[in-house]
Amino acid sequence: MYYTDDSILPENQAPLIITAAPYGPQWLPGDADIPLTWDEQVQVAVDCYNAGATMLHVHVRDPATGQGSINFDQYNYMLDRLRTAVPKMILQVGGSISFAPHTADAKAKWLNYDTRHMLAELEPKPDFVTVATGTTQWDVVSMFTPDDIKGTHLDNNPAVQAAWAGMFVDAGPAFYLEHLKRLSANKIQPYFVPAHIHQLEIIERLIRAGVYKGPLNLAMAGYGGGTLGRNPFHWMDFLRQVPQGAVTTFWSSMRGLISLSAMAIVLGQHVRVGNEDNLWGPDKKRRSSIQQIEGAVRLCEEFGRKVANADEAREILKVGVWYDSIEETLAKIGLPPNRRDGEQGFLLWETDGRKTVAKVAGDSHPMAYCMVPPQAAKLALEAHKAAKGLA
Amino acid sequence: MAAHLTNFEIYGGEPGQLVEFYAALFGWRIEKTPGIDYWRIEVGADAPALATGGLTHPPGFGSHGWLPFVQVSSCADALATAERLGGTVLKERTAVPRVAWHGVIADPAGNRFLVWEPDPTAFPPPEPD
Repeated sequence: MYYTDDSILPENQAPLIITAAPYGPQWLPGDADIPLTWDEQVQVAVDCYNAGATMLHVHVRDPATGQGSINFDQYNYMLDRLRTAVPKMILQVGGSISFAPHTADAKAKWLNYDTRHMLAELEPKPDFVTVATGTTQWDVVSMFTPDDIKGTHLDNNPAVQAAWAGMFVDAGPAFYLEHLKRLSANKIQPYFVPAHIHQLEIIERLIRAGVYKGPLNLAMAGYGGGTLGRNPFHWMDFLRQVPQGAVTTFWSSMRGLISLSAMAIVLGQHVRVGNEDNLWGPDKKRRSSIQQIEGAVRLCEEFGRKVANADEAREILKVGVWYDSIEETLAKIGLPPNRRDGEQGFLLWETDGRKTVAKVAGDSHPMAYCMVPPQAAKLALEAHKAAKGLA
Repeated sequence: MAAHLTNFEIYGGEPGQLVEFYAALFGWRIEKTPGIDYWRIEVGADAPALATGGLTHPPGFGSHGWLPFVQVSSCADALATAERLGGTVLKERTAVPRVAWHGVIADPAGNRFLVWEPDPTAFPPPEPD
């Protein structure tokens, strides 16, 4: 991201896109303002939209169990109701879901990562599905203070805290190569969620290799514990490396989100608020998702930046836009073109999109491998010797 | 422990296909709950007991036949007492959010029933995803 002298003046910035994340899948009713029934889950979207949010981060809660839904049909049902209730709102489905097939046909068809790839089959289609590029630890509680979880079920509950501390996102190339292929085929745009600069590098490699050809929309995911933390220098360094044509939203947690949202607004970037990320106001009093949206709007007005309406948000994010070539994608995103015969950024390999067997890395695993050459390497060496007449 | 029968559930691999069967057999009013594979059964306004029921997929603990619901003052106590008396807990204490806690028990002979503790604050603990 490049800044000229007048870039930080609000009239030169794109209107602010506020993403609402009001479904707080990690909370109990006593913890936060979480919706449960279908009507409540739809109404909160309407309320967020009316308060100024133009993008909705969708998680679905099964009203019958109270738990996060893993039912493909329920997601479709919810998306259909959202499209009816808030037709202009941009729908971004959280990509961490693994659907549970519940019919014999589905069980036979959805193998392994297919339960995650099914996000590409949602109908009605969401505008975006979040996509992680790189397996990462997401120890979200590592950045919480005791005040942050006061009054929630995490308060004085080390066992539950430990469960959340052990969370990681499983997103190796066997997953994201196939996932991007399926999303692209069904014209659902990825919303990338790099947890640090090196996952931004992976995204660039994917674009340079032509795995994804479309606008670059991303969240800088700063939840600590393996993802970006709250050091502003790290945020600025990350932002500096985001291509000029990309659209970036700042994601973080608890009251740190308020400060980082202010940074995002001043820097011309975009924000996400809601009980999935934060429960508090700057005064350490509880804030509902709607109140947090209203806070972001107030902050924006004070600074003089316009809040985007739905049409503007769709135009800024280039919803529904796809590119025909790698070159066009790079140019539109603001990345230098691939050098002819140069490194195109990604060693492509065929994958069936299924989970690979995890490899345990030791302190010196390359040496361990070298001590006992793999059979394939041994055969190649013998073939090479034979070709050279050395055998 | 005070306990009385409240409602029941019927299970089928394709529960929707059973709607017509029971509606025709007994004249019950059976309506699908939007967005969920669950059909609410209304036996009739003047039915003295077991006046409501449900129709859905077979439960994870495996069951043929109808499952009676027994309302109790404490689901946890009922499960513990049943185990002490030689019963088996087939489904641990589970929330129906904002409605009740429930669990499923098999008596020593293998007969199955559900214990139901109304509780408007019931809710399952969230799990990291």
